[in-house]
Amino acid sequence: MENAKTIESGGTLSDLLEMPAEVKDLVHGIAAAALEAGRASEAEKVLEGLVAIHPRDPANWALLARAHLRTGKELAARFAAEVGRQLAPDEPSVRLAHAEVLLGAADGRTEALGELRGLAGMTGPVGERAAALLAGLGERVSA
Amino acid sequence: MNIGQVLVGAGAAALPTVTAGVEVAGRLAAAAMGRSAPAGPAPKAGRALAAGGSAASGPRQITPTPAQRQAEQMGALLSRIARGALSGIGGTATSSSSSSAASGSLAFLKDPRLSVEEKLARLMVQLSDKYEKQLEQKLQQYADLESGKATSSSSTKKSASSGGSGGLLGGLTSLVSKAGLGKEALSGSSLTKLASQVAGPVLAGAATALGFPALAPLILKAGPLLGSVASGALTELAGGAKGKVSTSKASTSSSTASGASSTGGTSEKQLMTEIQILQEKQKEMFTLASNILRSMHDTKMAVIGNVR
Repeated sequence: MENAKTIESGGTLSDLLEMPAEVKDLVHGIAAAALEAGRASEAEKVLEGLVAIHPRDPANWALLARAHLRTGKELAARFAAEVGRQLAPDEPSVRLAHAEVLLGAADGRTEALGELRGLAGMTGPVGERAAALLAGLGERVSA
Repeated sequence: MNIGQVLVGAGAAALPTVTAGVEVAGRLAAAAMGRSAPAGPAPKAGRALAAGGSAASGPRQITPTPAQRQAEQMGALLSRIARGALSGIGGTATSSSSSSAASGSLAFLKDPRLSVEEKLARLMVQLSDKYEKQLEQKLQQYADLESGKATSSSSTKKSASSGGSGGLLGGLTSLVSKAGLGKEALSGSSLTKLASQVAGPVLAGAATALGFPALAPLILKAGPLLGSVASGALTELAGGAKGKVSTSKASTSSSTASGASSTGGTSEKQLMTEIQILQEKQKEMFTLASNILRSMHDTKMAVIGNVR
C-alpha cells in the first residue's frame, strides 16, 4: 500500500491528494464562516476533515478547538488546541484559541489569563478579542 | 454456510450467458461509438446471440434510436468501469502485498479469457472465504475467552500481530502525552472520552503533526475500534492502580478478581465489535457485487428491449 507508506513516512493526505493551498484556504474560510454564523456542528465536521488532510496547519487546529468548544467537547477542544500550540507556539491566533480553551478548564484558568494578558496588548482582531475576553472576566486592560 | 460454493455452483450455469451479453453490449457500444470491437471471445458471444435471439439477429438492418444509442454507450461505459475497477483491485493487491501468494490468488483478475461477471464471482468467493476465515478466528477467540483461556491467548496474539492494539494503545498514550494532555487525559475516563470525542482521522492527523507518522495508519485502520482500545487502556491502567492499592491493603484477591473480570469484559466487547465489523464488510461486499450485476443486467435488458 503506497498510500500507507507515504503516510508512515510523514506525508499527509494533502500530499497524496495533491490538494492546492487555495482549496485549503477556501475550506478554512467556509468553516470559519459557519462557526461565526453559529453552525458549530457543521464547522466541526468540515474542520475535522480539514485537519485530517492538512494536519500540519496550526490555524486549522485552532479553529477546530473553537468548534469543539462550541459543541461542548471540552476534551477534544483541549486536544486540538494543544496540537495547534505544539505546531505554532508563537502564532497569536493559535495562542488565543489555546487560551480560550484553557479558560474553560479547571486547572488552566491562571495560564489562560496570563496568555490573554500577553495577547491583549497586540493590535488587530486577536488583541481585540483577548481584551474583550479579559474585560468580560472583570479585568481592566490598559490600552 | 459457505457462500463461495453456492456462488461457484450458481455461476457455472449462469455466467456464460451473461458473458455473451456483456460482449454483445460492448460490441454494440463500440460500433455505435465508431471504434473497433474489444478483444475477447467473439465466436462464443456470437453463438450465444444466435442461440438466444435467432429472430432478432438476422440480416435485417437495425437503425438505432437515440435512446438505444444512449443505452449502448451506457453499457460500454459500465463494462469499462467494471473492467477498470477489477484491474484496479488486482493492481492494488499485487502492489500492496509483496508476497507472491496474495497476487497469485488474485491472478484471475488479469485473465483476459474471463468475463467481468466471472471475475466478480471469483472475487466474491475469494473475499467471502477470507472473511469467513477471519470470522471463524474471531469466534474461536471468543470461545477461548469464554472458557477462560482468553488472557494468555490475547496477549500472545497482541504481541505476535504487528502493530496490534497493544502498539496502538502505546502510541495513543504517547500521542496524548506529547500533545500536553498526559496527566489529565490518562486519569479517570478521559482517554475513553477523548477517543469518543475526537474522530479517528483527526487523531491520525495529530499523530502526523506531532511526529508519530507511523501511528497514523494504525489509528485509521482501528477506526471504530479506537474507543475499545482506549477503554482497554483505561482498564489496564485502572487494573495496575488497583493492584498497587491492593498490595498495601488486605483485600488483594477481591480487587484482582474485579480487575480480571473487567479486562475480560472489554475483550469480549472488542471481539463482538470486530465480529460485527466483519459481518458488515461481508454484507457490503455482497451489496456491491449485487448492485454491479443488477446494473449490468438492467443495461442489457434496455438494449434488448430497444432492439425488439
